[in-house]
Amino acid sequence: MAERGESSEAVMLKKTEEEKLRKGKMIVGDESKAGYEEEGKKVKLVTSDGVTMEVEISIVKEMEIIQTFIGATDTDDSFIFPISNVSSHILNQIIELVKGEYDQELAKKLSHDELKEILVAANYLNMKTLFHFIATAIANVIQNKSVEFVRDFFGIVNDFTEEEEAELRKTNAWAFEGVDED
Amino acid sequence: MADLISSIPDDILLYILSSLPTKQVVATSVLSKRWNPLWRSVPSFDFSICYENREEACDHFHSVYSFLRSRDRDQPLLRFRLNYFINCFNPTVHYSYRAIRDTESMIKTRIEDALLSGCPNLEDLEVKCILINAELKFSRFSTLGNAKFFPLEIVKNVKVLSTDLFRQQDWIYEFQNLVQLKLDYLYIQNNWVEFLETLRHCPMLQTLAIGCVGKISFGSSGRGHEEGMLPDPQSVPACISSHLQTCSLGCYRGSMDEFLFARYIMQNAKYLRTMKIKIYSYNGEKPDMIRELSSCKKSSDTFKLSFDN
Repeated sequence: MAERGESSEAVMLKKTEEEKLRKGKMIVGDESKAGYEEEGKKVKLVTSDGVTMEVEISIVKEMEIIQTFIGATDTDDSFIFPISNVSSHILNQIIELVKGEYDQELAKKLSHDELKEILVAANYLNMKTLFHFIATAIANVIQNKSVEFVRDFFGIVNDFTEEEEAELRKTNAWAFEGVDED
Repeated sequence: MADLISSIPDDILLYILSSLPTKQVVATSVLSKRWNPLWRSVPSFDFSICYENREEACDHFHSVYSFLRSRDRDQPLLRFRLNYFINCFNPTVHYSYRAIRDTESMIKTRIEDALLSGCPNLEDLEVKCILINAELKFSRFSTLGNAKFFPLEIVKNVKVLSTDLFRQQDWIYEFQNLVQLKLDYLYIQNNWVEFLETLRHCPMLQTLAIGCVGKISFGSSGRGHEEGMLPDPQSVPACISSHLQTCSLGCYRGSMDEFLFARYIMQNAKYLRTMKIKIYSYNGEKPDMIRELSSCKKSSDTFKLSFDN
């Protein structure tokens, strides 16, 4: 150290400065790393039924729609984000699924309506992992089920006449053989 | 709720439909007028073809053919699954091997057409042809040297690949995106080291599942034959040293090839989380095999070695 003409104090000072700089960079420059600094922090979300819920930042980070918004502004405790398409009940379900690391066993406990509402919410919030998870869960529910079951599941109104439907079934008859009992 | 679903854009419905068997996807054409055209754009092909006789084979073939002809060819295929099963053990049915082979070759041509025409972005590929009949199996083997069952070059961008037939000499292309590889049968020609060489073509591989390891030359895969030439420890394939997280070996009978391969993975895969070995033992050697495998040196302390029955 002495050879290079720097006192140990000066070196220490330099180090702290470097550290500050590095920390500053982490927060300003790299969003993904900034998240770790904010661990334990919560973001307030207002649901469609007017409930304000405090959600852990680690879960909010999966909601890309909010993430882009957070990226554009300085986050502080007063930050409130309205999610007008998602009810508090569904948001609670989503939080459980994220915390449960997307275990398909959890999806089995959801009602058909909940599955569909979570699908719509995942799309709206732009949560990619949740979206894939819930789409797979829905596919599992309707797999090998009859046309009538699928109509009922999605609430589809059949706007074909009987003759039209019979004609369509005839065209691809092979696709209607051997489905599971509903 | 009906309003909710009618507000869902088509691409989300297509996403859900893409993980269903094609047969059911086609059946959604009668749900309603809105759903009617959707199936043609679903980016997946997922057929299980299982037949007991010539007529059934033709029916199944016809389904595949009519699907391929009717779907929208401008839509890419992201997922391609074909499970192909012939029951040759039914004594009441008379088989013409030639008829089966003809049907197979027709399907093969259709698959190649489909792959050539419509799926530069294929992510997930599964092709299985489970042929119970030994004669047929081996006749396929001998011809496969020249004619590949499916054109690997076309599917080299897949992320997930599952197949029952894997031979080193087909593995000459770079599978840059492949993260998951499932092989029902791995046929080793000379020794397991050659298989490691083929893994160099899949630098991103994270999951490797092998159903059964066998030798092409029969009668010498038993326990106790010579150790193959050991690979250079300096040149572990990149996927093993820096990406592989999950490895499973089925039908483990404790042959030298199997043991050396398992040991090599455990010693060199630094990021391994799970190693699953399913032991197939018929004369009480299982505890020895478990002891032998458990005592191998491990490259990471964190992975879990488990044995299935």
